[in-house]
Amino acid sequence: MLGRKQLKGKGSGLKGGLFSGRRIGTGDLRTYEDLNKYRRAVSRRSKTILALSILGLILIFFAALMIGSYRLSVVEVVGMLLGTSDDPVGSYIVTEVRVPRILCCIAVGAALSASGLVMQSLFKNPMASPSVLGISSGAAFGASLALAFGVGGFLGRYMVPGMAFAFCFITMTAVYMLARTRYGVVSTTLLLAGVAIGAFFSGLVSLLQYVVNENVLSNIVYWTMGSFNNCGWESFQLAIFPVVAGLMIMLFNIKELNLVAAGEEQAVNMGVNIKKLRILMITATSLAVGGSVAISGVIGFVGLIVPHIFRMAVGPNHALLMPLCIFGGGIFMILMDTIAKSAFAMSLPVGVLTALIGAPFFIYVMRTKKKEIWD
Amino acid sequence: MLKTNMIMSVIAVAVLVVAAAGTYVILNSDEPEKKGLYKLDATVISVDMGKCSATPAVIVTLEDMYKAYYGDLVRNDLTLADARSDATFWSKYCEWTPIIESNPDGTFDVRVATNAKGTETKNIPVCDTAIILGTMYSETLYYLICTEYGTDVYSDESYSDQNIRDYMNKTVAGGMQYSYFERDNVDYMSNLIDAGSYIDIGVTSVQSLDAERLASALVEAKARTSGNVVYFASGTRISTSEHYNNNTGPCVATGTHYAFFSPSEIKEVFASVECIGLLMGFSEETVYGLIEDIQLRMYKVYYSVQEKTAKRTAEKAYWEGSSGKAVSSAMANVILEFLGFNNSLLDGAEHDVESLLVDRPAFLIFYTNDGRTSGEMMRENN
Repeated sequence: MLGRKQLKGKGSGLKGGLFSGRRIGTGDLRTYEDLNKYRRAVSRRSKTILALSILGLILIFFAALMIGSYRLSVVEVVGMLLGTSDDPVGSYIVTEVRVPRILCCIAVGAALSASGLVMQSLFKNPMASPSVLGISSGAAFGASLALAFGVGGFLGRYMVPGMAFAFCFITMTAVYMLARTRYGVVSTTLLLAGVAIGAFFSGLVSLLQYVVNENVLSNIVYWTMGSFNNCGWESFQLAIFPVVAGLMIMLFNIKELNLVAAGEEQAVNMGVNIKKLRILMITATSLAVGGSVAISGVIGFVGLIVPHIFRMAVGPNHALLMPLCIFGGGIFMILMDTIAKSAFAMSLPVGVLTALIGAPFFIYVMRTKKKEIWD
Repeated sequence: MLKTNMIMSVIAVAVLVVAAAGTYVILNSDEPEKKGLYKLDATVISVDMGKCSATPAVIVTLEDMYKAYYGDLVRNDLTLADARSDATFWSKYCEWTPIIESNPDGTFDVRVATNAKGTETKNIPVCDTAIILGTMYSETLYYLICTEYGTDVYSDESYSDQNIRDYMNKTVAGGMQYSYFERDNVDYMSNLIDAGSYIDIGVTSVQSLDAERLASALVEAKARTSGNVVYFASGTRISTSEHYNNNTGPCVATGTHYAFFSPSEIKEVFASVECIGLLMGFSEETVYGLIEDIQLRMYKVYYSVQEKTAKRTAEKAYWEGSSGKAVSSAMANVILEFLGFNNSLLDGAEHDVESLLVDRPAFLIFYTNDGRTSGEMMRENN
């Protein structure tokens, strides 16, 4: 039974984000009944936000279906989705170009956002994300090896995602091993290790670009900018298995992630096997990032921006944050891709746009909201 | 002590006098010291990148490069019969394997080649409109229409000829980014094609193609004609199944025909000219007339090269792209070999001034669309 003083304490794990301060009023908690009411309110609001994000994803999915260089009305798009349209070109555009492209956006956005969240919690570092820790560069090198020399050819059509996954895993393990000390993972060392390993793999990608012929070179260059232009059903099929497998592992370990985020020592006391959790999370992140990088190339900042936006909105509870990052990541990526393909005279690589928008946004967030993010 | 100071002062004054004298001599020298690659005393030329691929324009590059390095042709009175009787030349550079075959019903079987799927045969009727991604195909059409009207290519006359303008605007309905033609000085396109009616698909390469934009362009092109529309692109660059699906999907959905080419030898120019010409409805007289004209001009260059290089070790040539690296394309290698050069420096690597001074290429080739200054290209600061 919680005592009155404990309930009034400032350090309540329930404080934060949308639920902090005046909105719900943790300061008014006096009895156990108050705490239950507070929890129910949090739960209701969490469910509402989650429902809104799912609704948002559905709405933006259909909105993105309407937007493109081939003009189609809402009625026509619905007709094409239901198979009642007699316009073969429109049907092709909707069912073979736009739908798989948007699904790829959702898969990649979800994978990168959830991976960013996991890395930030696991390494207790707000700067951690697949691109900042060099994981994307590692994946880029693996995939470039496959593209340039057919390395990993025994994997057949899974050659590129397979190599991207393998190098994600190698990079993440290397960064983690370099940053680990007997006292745990040191944040600064982790970032520096990530920067160093990322630079190393970027150097190797540059070396590959230097030695390959012009055709392979333009493939690698275009691919390292990140784009959904070549994403069809085949790409979606390639990515969906590793991405879903990675996300499932993350979702099944939400409780452990919450405990680790609160402190490794407490997590160990609560029975969390930290070593096993790290291996699981590194595997999950490698699967998710490898799968996404393999179809879309390197798209930076998604794993950094999306988790921070939602952490500011709903606080640090992974039970809510993780699904929000999955749905929100999808929404963010669809938005970015729709702008990249439709807002300019030519179709821009989406990775260029996320970097252009992501970097200043992140600086803004870091300068104005850093206290809210991690308090 | 005083004596030592005096000696030091004398030495210092002597050093200053020598330095001043040296500076005076250098600054007043009639011939300034050569720097960077100018030390090679090599022949330098800038060539048009678009004329170095498997298009009829490759003959312009061959002639220009020959003239820059060797000077005038040895004989200008050679005939096609002379060319045919030179078995080495004819079999190596002129005997092509056709990629198009005519059917009794008036359609053609075209061998479409991509790196992703290899060679496929497609049945294509005569087309009157094309969406073109790449300059090779539009340049071939330009040569064909100029041949038909007896006009010199790249001449002001050809740019102001209304028949040629009408043909190019109607036939080349759209394709690669229009700004590319202006940016890279593709004069025949920017002079002849009206930007307002051109259907721009916003890319310059099949790898970055947005399938939806291509589909929209094909629909618009089909709406402009009662005939057939064909999509031309580079098969060499279609290297993954994603690229293949992206490029063929819109064609299948819109009922457009497509033909992809992967030439890597000079004689494949003739296969491309034959295929594009017949497919776009040109008469055999025009198509084979153009082919024979190129073959004869090529033979004149070839004959002269053989005469000039007889009993001589082939000199090295160095061909650099705007990235600062040696080019390594198959066509560049073939062109240098045709012109009697050692092409061992065309390895795709970056060559610094030191290695080039050691290798001593006698011929330096750059592209006209290279954004660097001539000083930068010639490493003048090294």
